[in-house]
Formats: sequence, structure tokens, C-alpha cells
Amino acid sequence: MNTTSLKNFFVSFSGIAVLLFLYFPLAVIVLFSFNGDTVNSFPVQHFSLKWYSVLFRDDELLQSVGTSISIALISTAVALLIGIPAAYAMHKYDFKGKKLIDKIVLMPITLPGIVTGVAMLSFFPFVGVKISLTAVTFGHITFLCAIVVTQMLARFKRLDPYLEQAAYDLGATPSATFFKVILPNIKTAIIGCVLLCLVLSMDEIPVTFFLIAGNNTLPLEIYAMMRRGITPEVNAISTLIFIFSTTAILLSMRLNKEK
Amino acid sequence: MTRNVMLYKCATQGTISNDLLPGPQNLFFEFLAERIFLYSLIKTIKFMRKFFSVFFASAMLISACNTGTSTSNAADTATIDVSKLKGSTLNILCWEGYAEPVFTKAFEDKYGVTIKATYFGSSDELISKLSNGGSEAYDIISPSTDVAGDIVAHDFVAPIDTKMISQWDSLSPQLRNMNDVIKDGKVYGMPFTWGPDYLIYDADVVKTEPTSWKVFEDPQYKGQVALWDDISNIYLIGQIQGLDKTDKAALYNMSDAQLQSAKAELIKMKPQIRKYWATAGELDNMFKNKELALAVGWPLTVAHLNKEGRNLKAVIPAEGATGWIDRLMITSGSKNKQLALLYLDYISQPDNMAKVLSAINYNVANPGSERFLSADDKKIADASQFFDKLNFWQTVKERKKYNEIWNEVKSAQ
Amino acid sequence: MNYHDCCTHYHITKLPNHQIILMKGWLKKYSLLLPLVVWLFVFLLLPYCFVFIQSFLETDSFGKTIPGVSIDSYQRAFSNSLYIGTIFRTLMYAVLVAILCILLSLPLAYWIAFKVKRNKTLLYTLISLPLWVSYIIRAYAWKIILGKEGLLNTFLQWAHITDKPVEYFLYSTFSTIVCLVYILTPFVAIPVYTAFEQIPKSLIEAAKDLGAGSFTTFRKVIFPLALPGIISGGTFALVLTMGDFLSPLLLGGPNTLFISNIVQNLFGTSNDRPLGSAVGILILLLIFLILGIASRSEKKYSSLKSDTR
Repeated sequence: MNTTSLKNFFVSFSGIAVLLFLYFPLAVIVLFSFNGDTVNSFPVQHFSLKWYSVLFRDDELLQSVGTSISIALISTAVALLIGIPAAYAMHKYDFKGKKLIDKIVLMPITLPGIVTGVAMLSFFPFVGVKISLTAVTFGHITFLCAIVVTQMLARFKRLDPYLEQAAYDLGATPSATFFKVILPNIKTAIIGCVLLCLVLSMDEIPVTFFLIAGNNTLPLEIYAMMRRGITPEVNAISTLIFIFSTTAILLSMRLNKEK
Repeated sequence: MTRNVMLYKCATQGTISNDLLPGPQNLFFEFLAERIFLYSLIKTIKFMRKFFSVFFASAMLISACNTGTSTSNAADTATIDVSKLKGSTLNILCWEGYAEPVFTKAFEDKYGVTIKATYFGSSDELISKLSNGGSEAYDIISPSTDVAGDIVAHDFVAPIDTKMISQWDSLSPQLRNMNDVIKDGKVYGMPFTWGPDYLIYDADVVKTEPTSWKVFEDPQYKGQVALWDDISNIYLIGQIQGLDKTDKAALYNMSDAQLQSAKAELIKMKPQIRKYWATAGELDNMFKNKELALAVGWPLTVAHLNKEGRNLKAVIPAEGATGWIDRLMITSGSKNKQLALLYLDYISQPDNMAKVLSAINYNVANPGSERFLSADDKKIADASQFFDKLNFWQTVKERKKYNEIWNEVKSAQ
Repeated sequence: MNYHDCCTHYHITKLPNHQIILMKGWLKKYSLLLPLVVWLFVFLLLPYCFVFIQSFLETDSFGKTIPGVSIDSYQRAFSNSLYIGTIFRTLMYAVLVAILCILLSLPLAYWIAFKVKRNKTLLYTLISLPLWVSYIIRAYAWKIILGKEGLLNTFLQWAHITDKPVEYFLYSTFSTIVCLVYILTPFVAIPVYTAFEQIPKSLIEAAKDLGAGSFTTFRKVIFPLALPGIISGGTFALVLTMGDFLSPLLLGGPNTLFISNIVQNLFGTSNDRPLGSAVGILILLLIFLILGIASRSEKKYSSLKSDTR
């Protein structure tokens, strides 16, 4: 073997090794979700679907799934309503403070979630918003706005500028242009963005951690279960979340690619 | 206002047709009509919400009538309209083990309600949750002796009408009359359980019963010891150093020098520690996964693990142990005060208290429960003789300082 | 009836034409932006300002504010080595995590960008997929792998490398770092891969034509050109580690205390919000500093790119 192919082999090997490293723990979880024992020791003594059935009978866990989904849906809807017009305005117009808004919008994602979480925790009681699921929803909307604005801006940039011009030339008003010409063209990007927002909202932990009281969202319910020591079901729910997130993100990526 | 509205309309529509041209009066009526419409919309929504909740409540009542009722020696609830309570959720903020289905399910079935429990892992967490709106989010809390007095003083809880608790006079007089929860002649807490923070050991690993807390420093158990992530470790060191031999309160009022000395001892012990457990469930898990030989813990862990066939034992070492007495309290912001009162009455019944003892091995406040206990459980109830040996938690005036010392211990490398 | 007649009818002074056009656009622009601006102001800027204000207050042990401005929190934050010391220790760990992530991302990104001919998009998707699986699950997996009776220990004993379980693997700084590196590697791999992809192939070919071996090409051409992307990814990992409190909480041992855990504790069990806010502001300042240094060095190294065009 000459040195080139040896080097190639070395590069491929290390690349694949890192990729496997990224997936190994996930494979472990999927494996152990079928583990019949309560203790997570290796090798797996006997396989069973026991934990999946326990999972579906766990009312608190199912309730937290419902809570997560409803918060995700509401937050995504509001974030879209706020973010898409804003992204459109930022794309079309130039104005003072555009860069500033750009930076501020991104703050929830650039700064660690704990900072946003404690900031909201301190501020909300001061204005009378009780620490509850409402507060959690406000927090989610805030960081989802950042996602929507960046994603939509990127999509608007890729949009054919002549479409808008053509519409104006044909006499359409600006609002008609937006609803009848632009919106249908970015439809797939919006759907992709929606999926992205849903997944991110369902996995949001730091901000939710500080703003929760009473009902838990799914990741916090899993965290509470881990704290209480009830662990085997966690493997099962984790596998299901893995499958769900993967499907949603793959769909979103497919849709975002289309023009 | 007129001019601006006009200009806006012109600007956005480009033209205005003749008939749509509003006169000044028309604009005002437009404005008024809009306001009336919004107002009536909001009122309708509120009415619909109320209507549906009453509808569902009565639907549940009708369906509950068909499932039959169970008998129990509950207090005279004639003064509480039970039908209105159906379908509500009782939110309990408590230590782990205080809302196990084995004793809460019957209550849920009897009144057609749901009990939702949120757990805290330390008294500080309880205070923090209460300060952040917990007194409205939760209905019942279970504070220990170290914070009960402060909670009452800060008006986080409502007075309990002891006449509604049929077993009140049967509860242990010593616990009933603790005056940290009595303010202006009113009682704010009902005694529930008490117990020790004692030394738990895995009898399969530690063959001889330890006699002193100093076994935690034994090199053969390096990395197999667990302490609670709480300032109570400072009390522990204080006890080892014998600070409370003459005055029990000395543990809770340590001077700066004593705190620094306790901090040094805890840092010295660090290499022995596997993890500082934050919740009893975490401790359960570590013993279950054979990660520990020794720990400070509560009877709850011994009960849970021995039920699964393990061999955990516990002992109160020679230096003594701290203990706690937990009361159940109703929060001042609770929207289910009557339901909470019913729960307090229910759980204080001797048979239910016996279930609690059997499930988590804590001593309970109703001596009448003894007749419902199995022989094994009677041994635990008998251990109430060590009630006088325990140094029950008291209020710590310098709690912030204790917390800072504990954080310093945790961050020391 | 148009605008002009409308104005004469109501005896309102006309606005000049260009001003009308500007106003049309102005209204459109701002009405589109208004919801976002209002939302961000109320839910982002005000809370951040509030934290800043809160750091100058004092509270009692039950969280009730004592009226009056005080710098007590800042004094305590600076005088007690607990806080400053932990900030620097966390920064050290963050740098370590960033470096490890970069070391792992380089071979992966290089392989996909330069050695893989087909299925590039698929592999790129595979890198980013783990990001979407819940954080808490990915952290939990390491509990299973690193425990006393977990996979790693069982394997080591089976291979006769050790004869009894190594406890240090779990509930220690080691497990926290491993978990953080695992979770953050995709965050770093993506910008690094993008940077590699953007290097014009002609440059690499030119280097090869001039007789450079593949390692020299990497050292002299690829790495410098991709440096902005690498810095960007590394900064991401650094900032996220500084703000992470879950990994130390789940997998950390008695010696693992990151600064975010202290902030979490101060806002939670210790109920000392002013001190928590003060420490939070300090962390924030440090992060802004890091981000500033990073963006400046990104600009500095990206000038290489424009030179070679």
C-alpha cells in the first residue's frame, strides 16, 4: 500500500470513527429500551417491550407530552405571525437600526439559555406574569422568533426578485403581492421552518427550566424522572423522541431544499 | 384624530370611493361599535368557559353517581359541598414519598379528583418555589421544622380549621402542640411524619454495623459514599464535632469559626464521596446500581430497596443524628382549600397513616395507626423511642451563609 | 375621490407627493416590523435590563426585596473566591471542550468535504441529526455507558485492561466533559465543514501542482482558509459550555461545579437573586468579550481568503 492510499484510509477511518462516536450513545439508548431488567447493566440479559407498555400507561408522562405539543404549536404559530412579516420587512427595506435588530433578534440563540431564563424569571413576576405555562410559552416564542426570522430571511434572499417586480407591473397592491405571489412560493420553507420550530420548542430546556411550575414539559418530565430515579422508561421515551425528531428534521430539510 | 385616520386610509388604499367617505360623526360611531363588539366578544368567551366547566363538572357528577360510593370514617363533611369539588386537581408540593398512589388513589376515587405531586429535594427548594408564585400554584405543602415557622410568619399558608379534622385529637399531643406553626391562636400545620437523617449502609458490602459517622472517612469505602446536597451536612459535621452535646440549637447557630472548621472537614471528606444526591430517588438509583456502600439518607430509601430484595440497613451512630418533623399545610393562595382540608382529614385517618408508614417507613403522627401495622412495620413504629435521641432541625438564622459555605465546599477542588 | 379631493373636502392641508410615498412605505415597513420590535423589547430587552437592575438590589432569605441600592452582591461576587474562581475554572473547561470538539470535527469535516465523492448531503445530514435529539437524552446515554456496571467498565474488564470497575468514569468532571464534547461536536462540525466546502478546489489543485503533499496542503492552504469557520465553531462550543448547567447536574461529581450551576442554585435553592444576577452579568460580560474577540479574529483571518481570490 502506498502512502497516498494509507493516508486516505487514515482520513476515512478517523472520519467514520467520529461519525460512529456521534451515533453510538443513541444506539445504546435504543438497545436498552428493549432491556427487560430495571438496571442498566451490560450485557442485556433479556429483551422485552415492557418499558414501552409502562410508558403508555404513565399518565404524567403522557400529560407532559401533551403540554409540550400544545406549547410548541402555540409558540410556533405566534412566532410565525411575528417573524414572517418582520423578515419580509428586513429583506425589502433598508432602515436605521436594521443591524441592531438583527443582533437583538439573535440574542436568545447566541447567549446561553440560562441567561435568558433567569432574566425572564426575574422580570415576569414584576409585571404580573405568573411563573406558569404562560410564562414558558412567552419564553419559547421569544427564541422561536429568532429562528423564524433567520430562516425566512435566508429564504427571501433566495427568492427570485423578478417575481415581485412582475406582480407590481401587473398592478397588484403590495399586500396582494405578498399573499398571492410570495407566500405560495415560500410555502415549503415555511413548513420546514414550522417543523424546525416544533422540534426546537419541544426540546427547549434552560428557559423552560426556570419558568415552569406545576405541569412539566416532556424534557423536564424526563429530567424529573431521572432525578427521582425511575429510569428504565426513559430509554423507551428517548427512542420514540429520537425517531420523531429525526423524521421531522429530515422532512424539514427536504422541504427547505425545494425552490 | 380625524385627519390622521383619513390620511392613513388614503395612504393605504390610494383612493377612497364617495359612498365610503365617512363623516366625522361616522368615525366616532365606528370606533364605539368596535369597542362594544370587542367587549361583548370577551364577555362571551368568559361565559362560555364558565358554562363548560359547570357542564363538565355536572357530567362527572352524574357519571360518578353510577360508580357507587365507598365507606370510610371521614370527618363530617356535611358542611362541604362535595359535588362542586369533582374534577378538580389537588396540587401537592412535598418531599418524595408523600404522594404515593398506594394511599392517594382511594382519595382520588372517593371524591373524583386528581392528585398531582411536585417534589422538592431540599427545604431551600421549597422556599424558593413558594417565593416564586408557589403559594398559588400549589394547594398543600409539607415543610419541615427548619422552615415551618418562617413560612407561617411570611403568610404563605392559611389557618387550618382543626374541627374539620376528625382525628385531630388522636394525633400525637407532642407533635400537635408544636408552637412554631401556631400564630394568634390559630393552627397552620397538621403533623404528618417525622424521621431521621441516618446512616444507610449496604449490608452486603459493609459487613459490620458502623458505630460512628467517621466510617465515612474510612479509606476502604473511598468513592462509595454519598451525602445529601444540602446544608444539613454542616449540621452533620457539627454533630461529629460534638457541638450539640449540651445545646441542641448549637448546630443551627454556628459561629464563623465553627462554619470554617466544618467546611474544612467536608472538603477533607470529598475524595470519599461518589456524588451529592439531590433527591431520594437519585440515592435509590445509586444503591440500586451498586454504586454505594454508605450514605446519609432517609428511611424511604431503605424501604424502597429492601422491597426489591436488596439488603440495606440503617443505624443512628454514637454521635447522634438530625431529624425532621413534617407538617402538612394549606397554602394561602390555594384555590382548593376545601379539597385540601378533606385530604388532610383523609390522610390523618389511622388506616391511611399506617399505609404511609408501610410504604416509606417514616414514623407517622397518629399513634392509632399502630393497630393497622404488620409485625415488621410495628418495629419501625416502636423506634419512636429514638424520638428523643434525634436533634430535630431548627430554623437557621444565617441560612444564606450556610448555603454559601456549602457552595464553597462543592466548588473546592 | 382621491387624496387631493379628499383633502379639499375636509379642508386639510395636502402633503407634498414625495412625502406621501415615503409615508406609505414608512407605514408598511413599521407595521410589519412593529410586532417583532415590541415583542423583543418587552420579552428580551426589558428582562435583561431587569437582571442588571436586580444585581444592585438586596433580598432577605424569603426573596422579598429590601429597598435601596447596594453593590453588596458585586462585592460578594468579587471577594469570595468561589465565584471568580469558578468562572475561570469553567472558562478553562470551556476552552478544553472547544479544543476537543475542533479536534474531532476536523477529520470528520475533512473526510466528508474532500474524500467523499457521493452522498455528501446524506453524510452532512447525518452530522446534524444528533443535534435534534433531545439534549437530556443524549446526556442520559452517558449515564448508561460510564456507570460502574455500564458498557465502558464491562468492556474494559472483559478486555482485561482493568480488573475492577473504574468509578471515576461517572459522576466526575471527566463524564461532564465527555458529555459536553459529545453534544457540542455537531455544533462545531457544521461550520467547519461549511468552511472546508467553500475553499475553491482550484486552490487545492494549485497546491498539488506545486508539489505539496496532502499534509502540507492542509497545513498551508486548507487550514488557514478555513480558520474563520473553525473559530466560529469553537466559539460556539465555548459559549455554550459556559452557559451549560445540565451536564454537570446530571453527570457531574462532587467536584464538578460549573458557574451556571452556581447561578442556577442562586436563583433556585439559595433564593439569592441579586447575587445570582450579579454573577449572571459577569458571565454575560465575559461571553460578550469572547464573542468580540472571536468575531475580530474571524475578520482578521478571513482577510486571507480575499487576498487569494
